Amino acid sequence: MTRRACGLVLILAVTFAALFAPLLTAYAPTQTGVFFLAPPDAAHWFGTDDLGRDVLSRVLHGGRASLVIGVGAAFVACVIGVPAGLLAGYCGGRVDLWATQVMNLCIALPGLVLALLITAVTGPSVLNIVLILGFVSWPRVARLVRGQAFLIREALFVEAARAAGADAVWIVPMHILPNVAGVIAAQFALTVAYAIFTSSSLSFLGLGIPPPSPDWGGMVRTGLDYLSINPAMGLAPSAAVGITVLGFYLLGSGTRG
Amino acid sequence: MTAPLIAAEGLVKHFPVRQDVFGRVSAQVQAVAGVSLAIAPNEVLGLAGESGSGKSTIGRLLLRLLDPTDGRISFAGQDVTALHDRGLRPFRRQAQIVFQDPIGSLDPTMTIGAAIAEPLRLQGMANGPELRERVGALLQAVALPAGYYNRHPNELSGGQRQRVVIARALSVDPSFIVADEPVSALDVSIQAQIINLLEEMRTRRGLAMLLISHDIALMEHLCDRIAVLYLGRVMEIGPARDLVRAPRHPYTEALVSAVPEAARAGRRRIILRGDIPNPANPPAGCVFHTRCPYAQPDCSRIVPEMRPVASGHLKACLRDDVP
Repeated sequence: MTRRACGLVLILAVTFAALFAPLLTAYAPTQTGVFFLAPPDAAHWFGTDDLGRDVLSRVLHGGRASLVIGVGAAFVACVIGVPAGLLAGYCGGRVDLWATQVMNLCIALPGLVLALLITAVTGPSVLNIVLILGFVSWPRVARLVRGQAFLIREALFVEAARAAGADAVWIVPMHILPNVAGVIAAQFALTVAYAIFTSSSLSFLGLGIPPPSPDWGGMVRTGLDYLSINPAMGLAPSAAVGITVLGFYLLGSGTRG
Repeated sequence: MTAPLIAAEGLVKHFPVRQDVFGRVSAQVQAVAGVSLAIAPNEVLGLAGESGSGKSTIGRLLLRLLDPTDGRISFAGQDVTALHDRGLRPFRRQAQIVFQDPIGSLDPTMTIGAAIAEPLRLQGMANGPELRERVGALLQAVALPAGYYNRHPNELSGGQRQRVVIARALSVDPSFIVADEPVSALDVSIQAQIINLLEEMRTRRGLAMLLISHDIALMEHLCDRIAVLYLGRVMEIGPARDLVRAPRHPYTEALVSAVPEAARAGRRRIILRGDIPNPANPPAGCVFHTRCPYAQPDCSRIVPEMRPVASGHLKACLRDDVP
């Protein structure tokens, strides 16, 4: 199986689990019980957490927020990054110089630290986290698109279009964009992986989606305190993050650029 | 000669090759150094010369794909030198190009139909069912099956792609085409088809053409007149047959003698010594004097003017007695 197919299988499995979480578990993710911190058994496959909630149910339901945040952030990153990259790459010259400086400045700042700062100010909510992670990720998309646009701009078929009377308004959507679409798709998947990982890191540091909504990063954080009593409480959400990020990473890096 | 369709006067193009720390150009290449040409309606002018002589640059300048550093271009009596973008659209409908590389000149993400339709759409000449119909007729005109409409360039052979490129150029019914080495990237067996196609288009549609090539034999066959280029300057220009059979400039003589047929006909083969000089630092006087077998002391001092040697036949050489 190719990298791409492996990634796709993992993503489909995670999406399926998150989407049909209520059907796959017998417990609601916020339903507390009297048996708290129980180790895994037949009734609770991953045991229960400190409030007696079923860990499996919370891991499955938590996938929804992670996927929404990951895909949403990648979408925001592309909405900003693709036009910026196309503009810089196609126009060249002074526009390119300034755009590149801004991109490099943003890339130089560590994404997690920047996201941490902004989240601390704005407060965590799904929408905020999507916007913030999208904002942190757009320069990578822009830089990649810029490089490709720069190359394709010099292609003979672009000159042929100009010879037929095309201007930038025609050439960019008709010729440049279709030819960078593959690269954008690959970078989209990589950005999803990055955003899920970073949002989990934020949650782990206490800036995740407010409780009681299940959230992988936050679950890992709490699970860490009870690692010796119910190891599955921290390990299961960690594995979920790992599998999801791996899936998107494989898809993104396996897609022809 | 009748009123020219397209005329260039004193065309100059410099390309910057080095910039200093302040972004100022500190060295430049003179790709085209003062070229004047005129092409009449339905005339085919050949542009010959070695690689690096500025042939393709002239083609691109004439079509305003490059901005000339100096000089004027007029099309059907109208000055098009100063026009840009949308102002150039009417001119773009009249003047089209066929590139050397049929692989690079088609967008790999576009279907053949969309590629041929693109100029028509850009020029607002057709849309909807009419557009499809016209593209179908063009496919037929270049002898491609109608089923190729939805194919992608990577499914076609080189010769087929070049026919798509020609169909595309013809789609807007232009009056002038620049054919930049239209067959040199193709197999010999395919070349003849494309040449016949170009010839047919010329006679049927009354096109004027600038044929850029280094194949003198092909040009003698296809062209009315030939201009010989060396280091961005015209060395000789004249009727195709006269120029090839009886070249009046030493450089043309050397070029013609390199054609295998000519060599077989018992002509002395002239082998030019050395490389083409650096166009960033061209020789003084006649630019060809460093390689000319007939060079004399004056040649390195005096820049030869174009002067007539016969009716419609001009050369830029100081000597009358050679070749």
